[in-house]
Amino acid sequence: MRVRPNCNTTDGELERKVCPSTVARRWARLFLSLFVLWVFVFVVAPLVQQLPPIKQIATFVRESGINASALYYTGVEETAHAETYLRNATEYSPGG
Amino acid sequence: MPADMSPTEPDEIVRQEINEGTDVVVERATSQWSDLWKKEDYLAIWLGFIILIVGLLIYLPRAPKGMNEKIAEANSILKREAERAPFKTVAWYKATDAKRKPKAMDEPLGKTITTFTNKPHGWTSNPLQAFILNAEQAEVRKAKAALKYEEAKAKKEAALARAAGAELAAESANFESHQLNEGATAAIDDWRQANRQASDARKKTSVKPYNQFPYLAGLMVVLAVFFSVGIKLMGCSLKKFFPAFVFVFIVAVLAYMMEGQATMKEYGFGYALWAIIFGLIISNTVGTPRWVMPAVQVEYYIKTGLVLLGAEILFGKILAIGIPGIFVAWIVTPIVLVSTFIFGQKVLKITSKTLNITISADMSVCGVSAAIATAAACRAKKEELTLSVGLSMMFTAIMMVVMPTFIKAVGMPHVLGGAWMGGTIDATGAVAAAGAFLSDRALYVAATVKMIQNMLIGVIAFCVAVYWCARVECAPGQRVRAMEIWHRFPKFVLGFIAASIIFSLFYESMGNDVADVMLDQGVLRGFATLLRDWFFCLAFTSIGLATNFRELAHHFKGGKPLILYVCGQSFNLILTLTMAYIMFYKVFPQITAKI
Repeated sequence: MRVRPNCNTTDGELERKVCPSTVARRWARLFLSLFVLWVFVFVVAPLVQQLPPIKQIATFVRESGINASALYYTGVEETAHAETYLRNATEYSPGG
Repeated sequence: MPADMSPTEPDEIVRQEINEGTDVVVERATSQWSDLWKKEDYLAIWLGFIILIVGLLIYLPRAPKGMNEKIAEANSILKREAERAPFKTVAWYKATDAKRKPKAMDEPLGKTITTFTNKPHGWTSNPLQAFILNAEQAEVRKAKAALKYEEAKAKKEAALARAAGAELAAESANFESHQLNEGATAAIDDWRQANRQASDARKKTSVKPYNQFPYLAGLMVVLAVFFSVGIKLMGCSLKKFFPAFVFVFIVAVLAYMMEGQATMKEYGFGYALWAIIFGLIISNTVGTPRWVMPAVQVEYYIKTGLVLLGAEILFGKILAIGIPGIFVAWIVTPIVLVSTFIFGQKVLKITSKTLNITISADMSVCGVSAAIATAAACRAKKEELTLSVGLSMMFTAIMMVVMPTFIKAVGMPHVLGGAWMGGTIDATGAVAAAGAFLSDRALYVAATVKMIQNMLIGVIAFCVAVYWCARVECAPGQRVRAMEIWHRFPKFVLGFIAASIIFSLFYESMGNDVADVMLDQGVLRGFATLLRDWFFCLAFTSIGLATNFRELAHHFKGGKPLILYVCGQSFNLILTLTMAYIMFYKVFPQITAKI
């Protein structure tokens, strides 16, 4: 664990001992951070999503099931569809 | 190796010497045979190739039943229909759909692998549903989805009847009436839209009860054992690694859990962001426990993942949309990358060249995946990669909404809009979502341009690695010999490139149709990609667990990374739009007409 120097410990003890108040502060910070995250996910983000253009896209992404967070083409099924379609459109193009 | 991606770690084989007679400090790198089994660069190559070979052994002997016959039949229908009518008929589209159906990963063994490597499932308000869904809850979801599907199915059937009727009317006029042909095309387009909606709705009806915990536990054991081989060879303690890995894996699972949250999914906030956030929260509040550090192996996980990513770079796909696609994805992108890098150095005077090139690649190529490859190739610091990923995710979410809205508002042609979005929005998933929001045509162009751009990662990573070894990492006045470049070169890049070349050759030798079924929809999407995602997730978790907010703030000093991103992206938007317009509408309108 990382330690803070304001505890009454020697350098050697710093590695092992942490003031109880410091520990409590750290855990409080952890829970506060998680709470902020919770507020963002369940309050702020859904509220922002109510804005008309965002709402339209969000509803579309939900209903289409497209993996909008995919990092690479192999994470998105639609890229395979797109590739097949375009290749067929070129190789078997109606009217030549 | 510790979690910093910079080359200044004590175990790097770089020693400094002072030249006799001068005071110039010269870095001399050396290589040893033992590097082959002791250094993570090589270990990443061996481990990555083991996975790829296992994937090939699993999938290549298990072709879906009747694959060749189905492909041949579909192709003969496509040929016949292309000759019969001047537009893409209902049968033409049905044959295209039939061609997509066979997938090696849908065979029983493929399904088992997918289940075993599966990430936590989607959820809305109860995070436990990411892991467990009982029969009753599954029934409720299924019933809800079934209602929507029935509605979508009815619309699809009605649209199909209209499309078939319009096509028949056009045929009865020997396809000579322009008006009837146009009417049939419009009716068929409507049917395709309804067909996609019905298909999406149908997927949601296949809800089954699940308990992901045993699979996740099993995967954790498999991955721990897999990575322990390299850990042992690098001289680290396995006794310390195993418990530490459990912690890192659990945080990675939490990151995937958050990716699956309904609202976050809609914003496109993926596991990379959540892994960094959870890691950062832990390391900057209660502190990352010391006993976890043996499994905080950023480079080891990233490099192994990158070797797997190499196999996904299939050069045969570059021509999917013809020459206009190459111009938009392969000419504009390097111009924007180099210009943004020069702008960062000369105008913004960003002190860290590695930060500059990581953000430039992230913004101009394809977001997080390009950032990972470039950061690893130039040995950027973990904070620099974190910053790039954060910027990319934020702007991707904004552009995913703003671009299709703007394109719709100004009435831009969807092929042009698709190419524009494909060349500029960072993440592939967001490109597909934004494209599909406009139309099928926009989706096809956007997703394909992005896919072609994805293929550029290998070339960019290789060039950055060479440039860094030959030019950036040497002291002023130092002459760099070829052997010196070799010693300094991040060797995993060779594995990354080799995987790409080998798989591209496989792809070419099989032919596009069979390769799509066996490689793309088998070895890659059904095995290598699933594991690669886990490796990257472990890497991002490790980055978060080893990063200090203060160091991160230091790199953001003056907001220069943000300015760099905004300026580079603005240039990218202008240049991509211009190039797409010239290529798709002025130089190659005949290709656009076929789309």
